[in-house]
Amino acid sequence: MTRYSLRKNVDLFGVWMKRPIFMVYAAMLVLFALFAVVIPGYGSLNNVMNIIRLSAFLGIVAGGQTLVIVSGGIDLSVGAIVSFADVLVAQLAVLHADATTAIIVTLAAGMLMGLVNGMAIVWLKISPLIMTFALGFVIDGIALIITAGSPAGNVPQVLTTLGSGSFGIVPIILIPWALYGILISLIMHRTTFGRYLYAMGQSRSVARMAGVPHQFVTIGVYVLSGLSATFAGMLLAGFSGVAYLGIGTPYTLESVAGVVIGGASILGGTGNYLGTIAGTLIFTMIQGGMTVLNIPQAGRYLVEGAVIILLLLAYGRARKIV
Amino acid sequence: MSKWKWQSTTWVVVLINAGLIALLAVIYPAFFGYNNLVTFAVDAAPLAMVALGQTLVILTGGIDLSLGPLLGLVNVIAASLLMPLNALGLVLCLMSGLLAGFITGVIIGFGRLQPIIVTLAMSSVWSGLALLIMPQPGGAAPQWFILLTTGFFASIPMIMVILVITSLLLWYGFYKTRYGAHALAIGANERGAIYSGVSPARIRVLTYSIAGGLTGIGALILTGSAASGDPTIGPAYTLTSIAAVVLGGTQLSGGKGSIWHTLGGVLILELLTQLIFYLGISSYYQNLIEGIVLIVALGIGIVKTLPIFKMEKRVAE
Repeated sequence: MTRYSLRKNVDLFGVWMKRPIFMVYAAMLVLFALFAVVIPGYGSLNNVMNIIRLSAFLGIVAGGQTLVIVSGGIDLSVGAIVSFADVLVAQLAVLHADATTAIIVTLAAGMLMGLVNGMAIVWLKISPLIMTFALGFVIDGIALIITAGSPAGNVPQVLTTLGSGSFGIVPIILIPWALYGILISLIMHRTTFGRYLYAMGQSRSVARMAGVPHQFVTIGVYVLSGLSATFAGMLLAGFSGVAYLGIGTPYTLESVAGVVIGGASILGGTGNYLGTIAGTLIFTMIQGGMTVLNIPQAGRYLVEGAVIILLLLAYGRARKIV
Repeated sequence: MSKWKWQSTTWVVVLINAGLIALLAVIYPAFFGYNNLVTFAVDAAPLAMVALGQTLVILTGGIDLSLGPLLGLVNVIAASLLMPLNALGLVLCLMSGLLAGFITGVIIGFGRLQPIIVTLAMSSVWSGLALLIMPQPGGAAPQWFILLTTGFFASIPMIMVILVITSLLLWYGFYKTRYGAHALAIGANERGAIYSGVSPARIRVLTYSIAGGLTGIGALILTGSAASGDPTIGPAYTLTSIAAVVLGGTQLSGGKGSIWHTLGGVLILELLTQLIFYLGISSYYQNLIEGIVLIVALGIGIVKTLPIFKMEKRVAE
């Protein structure tokens, strides 16, 4: 005990420096500084607010993904759910649904999709990777059918305000994002459910033997992920003003990458939402910077891939066994 | 390891395939004409190659999400190099597949990073390179090359020659060499394998290289049948190949499974596509049906846990 606390005192800075959460925020600041030097006006307060606004959508999707990955799973249907929510919330206006009904129905639909994911993973014992991927196909198909290929309707006013409104210089979307972040962090660190997530991510069989209701937790985690993606999809509809199919597709892989760059292990059991926020900010900054620098899509893909690998080589390596 | 075992997963794969073939025979008997079957084989071969590579990777306990985009990359390389360089272009295409797998393997093996996330990043890199080489679909393949992949040699379809040779090489390489045993060992228990003197990094480099090489072959067949290149064609193959592996009963946790069962999984997926096509289902419903069928087919895996199969297993042991 004494020895442990002594080591901790002596080595405090070193241990702290090696933590992924420090590395990811350092990487974010370095990247920001780099862009600020290269691109005039990048460091302005206005642009910073813009980056934060654009990060919010990915940040909220990645929040659900963080829960899933910490519990030892993965959710590849989030992109499809984002698209679906984006389309559905506008489409409901065609059926003369008022704003409240449209939002509640869309959230219920997202919850149902998470429920299907969770139940199939728990009871049909399909691996999460494949199950969520296949459900993504199904959801894309449903979105295509209900819109007959061309989305119509209009987005409720409240979503437009939340998604694209500003309060002076501060984007209003910061409020739902902050509330969401506090909620997710509370769930992860202050509830039994959250503790079970880490337990299952560390070792599913040990958690099961210790009496963790693993089936309930698994289903719950995919429902929360479905709800997060739906929430982000509705905000995205409010931001872009028009709904279109396939708007959410990139969010699937970007959310997974954001969570892992944020210091979570893809194997589960570690990570938190604070790291994920930095991970999503890094992604948005790269995309924004590349757009300003007029680099084509090809270059953007290359840089994104290279950045993920470099960051992981810096702090995500496994210990050597022998 | 090398002994063929008639497992319960074999039953499931064979039964689903038999059912699909029976359905096809009812709906569209002409499907079983010789020429039509050869065309079917050409259509199915790229997925088969990617899925075989994916099986090796999954057996070592990894996963390769970059194989689809790599297929697209080699496809556009082939569509741009085969015309001007001919045979040299063919060699370069095969080398580029191997090299890409080698790079992935080195980062995963010697970098000690998680395969799922490294290959996710690599898929972004390959997609970027493919778009860089060919921003729009285009390019062409020379006539000799199209004949080499889709034609006939003394009335034997070339595609069968390619598939049989590749399968035999794979069978020998994986079931008859030390490499194959070591690959299964690190998939089943990495720590144990390391203590036994296996170098997981080297095995991983070799495995991902082979997977890249197989994907390269698949891309060449695709180029031969499409006679052009498309930088966006690849990504769809990634998860379909994983689905084929899982349908074949190979466990995603590694160490357990068979490369032959994967071919059964590929057959299921390809027959399904044909079935949906011949049923004349609107393309609106195609995604939806494919997704549902995939879930149902994988859900059938639960049949394995029924008491009757457990008894069979107990007797077998």
